[in-house]
Amino acid sequence: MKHRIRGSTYTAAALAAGIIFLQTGCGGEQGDEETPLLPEARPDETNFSPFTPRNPYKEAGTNLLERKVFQALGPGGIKIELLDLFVLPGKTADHISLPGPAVLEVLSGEGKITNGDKPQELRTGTTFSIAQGASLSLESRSGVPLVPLVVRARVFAPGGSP
Amino acid sequence: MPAEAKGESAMMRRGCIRVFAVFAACCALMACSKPKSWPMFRHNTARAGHQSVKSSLSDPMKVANLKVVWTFSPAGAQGFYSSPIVHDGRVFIGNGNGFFYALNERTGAVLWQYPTGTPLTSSFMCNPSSFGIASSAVATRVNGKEAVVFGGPDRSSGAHLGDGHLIALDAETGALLWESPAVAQVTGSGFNDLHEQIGYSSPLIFHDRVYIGIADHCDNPIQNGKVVAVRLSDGTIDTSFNYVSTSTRGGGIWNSPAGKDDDLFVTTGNTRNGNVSQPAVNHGLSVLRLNKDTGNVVWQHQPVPYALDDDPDWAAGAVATDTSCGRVVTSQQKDGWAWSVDAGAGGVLWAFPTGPWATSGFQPGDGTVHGDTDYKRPGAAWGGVYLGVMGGLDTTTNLSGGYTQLHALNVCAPENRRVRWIKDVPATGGFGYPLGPPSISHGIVYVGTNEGHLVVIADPKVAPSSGWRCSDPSVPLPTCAILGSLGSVVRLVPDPAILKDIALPGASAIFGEPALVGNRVFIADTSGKVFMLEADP
Repeated sequence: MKHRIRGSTYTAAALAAGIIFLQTGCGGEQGDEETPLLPEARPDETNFSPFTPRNPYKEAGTNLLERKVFQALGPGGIKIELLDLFVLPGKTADHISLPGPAVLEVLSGEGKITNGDKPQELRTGTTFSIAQGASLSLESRSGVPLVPLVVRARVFAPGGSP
Repeated sequence: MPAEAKGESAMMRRGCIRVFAVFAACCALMACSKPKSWPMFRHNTARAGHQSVKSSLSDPMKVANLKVVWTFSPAGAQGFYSSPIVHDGRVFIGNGNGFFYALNERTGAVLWQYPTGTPLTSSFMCNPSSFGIASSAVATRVNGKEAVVFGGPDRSSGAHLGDGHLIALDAETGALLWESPAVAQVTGSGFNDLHEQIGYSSPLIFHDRVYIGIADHCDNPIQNGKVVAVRLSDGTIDTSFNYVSTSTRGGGIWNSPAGKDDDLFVTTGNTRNGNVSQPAVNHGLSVLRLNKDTGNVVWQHQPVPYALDDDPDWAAGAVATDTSCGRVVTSQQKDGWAWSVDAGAGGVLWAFPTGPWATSGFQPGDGTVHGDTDYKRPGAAWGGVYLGVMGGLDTTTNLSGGYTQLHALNVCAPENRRVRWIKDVPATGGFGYPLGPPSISHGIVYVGTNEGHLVVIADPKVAPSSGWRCSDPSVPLPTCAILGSLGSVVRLVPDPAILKDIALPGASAIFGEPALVGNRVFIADTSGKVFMLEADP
């Protein structure tokens, strides 16, 4: 009986020590802990942070966002603009017209450009030129799911004050 | 069973219980009495940058009272480009002036400095890594003695221009235990001279060896990257381990090797500078797993091919973590792209931002740019979260947009849940080092800035965020919300709260990491000051 009590005491002490050790992590390394995903924003979320981007895209047409990243006066009174065109994933932006002839380069995503009646497949790195006054459509259908199509346009527009 | 045997069995059982009880109690007491420490750069050999012990620094309520307790600045101070480590009540750090200091953790008083005579400097002074001691130290035991090991230049060998050596000191007295032979040689500054250096690489102590990465002073041209192993017992070079990055030059190791169990990981710099064509052996611009005994390459992930090498060194080191999707190695390259790789076989888990390159690497003509941009600082890992300074979703359109941002990424999540949160940290943008390496304590992130601030940020798991923002910083919120509902990578993500933004008194830019030790933070700046801050227990 005496031994049983002492055994129980030792067992209890061992358990207590073990629990302290595990619970407090007293100076010991703790394993990698669970870091579950954070909850998603609600569809009607309005609690936006005060962060404001320096040069955000602005809506420039149906399914199309646009922003100017550079502008300068070039030789011969030509204005050179760098524009980023952002086509929403899985969408098509029609009737895009630029203020002058342009060279375009796909920076991300995949899709199709239709310039007049000439369709051309697009992938990251594709470059192509657009004549002045052309109307084009850009379709985003990225091979990498849900990555937007971003096209940088070097536009050579008629001159004027930048 | 006979009664006698039963009695013996019961006695043995009781005996075992007693032994176990005493052992468990001793373990608990030892664990509780063991001083909390940050014994090496990025805290552990996996370079996770995570204080694994819960303390006031992991309590968002207690972080609010974090305050500076002491400041130390040595005589003749230059910048601190190494980071402090803390072990057994002592802070250890090397300065750009070429001296290595041991400080009292509680008071900041100098315990000893090494050397007492000629400082450890090289003849090169063209890059912060060339000034004095830029290698953060590691605490260890050498032949039973508490010791501290670091790398630095020493003009006593070779051409007397400051060959790189590993140095082990008695942690208590600062006495020299051993100095390795030259592991980085400097023979001059000509094109064909050697100008290797240890630079920012911090030693990794792993399986009785000390591993150190070798890069170069000032490029012009770049040197052949190496990992050298010396024996922990006496500092002699272990020639059974041999790793060089290329067959000519390039692939410098600008960071600290990482180790987990038997696996050794490094990342390497570029190869194109000084080569007329791609070296036959080219382990540059890669994250690599090396055999810890031989240095043989087990696998290599090299997303940027030689043809696109415009100097996007892989300057941030590898971070190895065990996650719900297995053991992974994560890091980001100077071009802003982050990569997560299966540590076992080397397969790519993901690229961030994603694109065709996630499966096939970057290709000439794919429109991506891989230049000398400044995503150089190692990240941190907290469970399945990787945290660092990287380019972000708009890397392709805005090369420098991520310099003052911290991205937290869910390592094992589907592509469209990769971004956990983004925080713009108050710092001066532009090139250079706007933010130091972040350290984390159970979801609370500590980072130094180039304005001399220590900024403390809370993962939304531990404190409410300040609202939602877009995972692509340039996309307006209404559009972002719509895209998120469609399942796009462009979606609303939390903008975590800043718990504390402390202007450290008289501080200049902060280059190194915060060391988180119990309820204390140790951080050093480039004007030559070490700060200790403390939160109430």
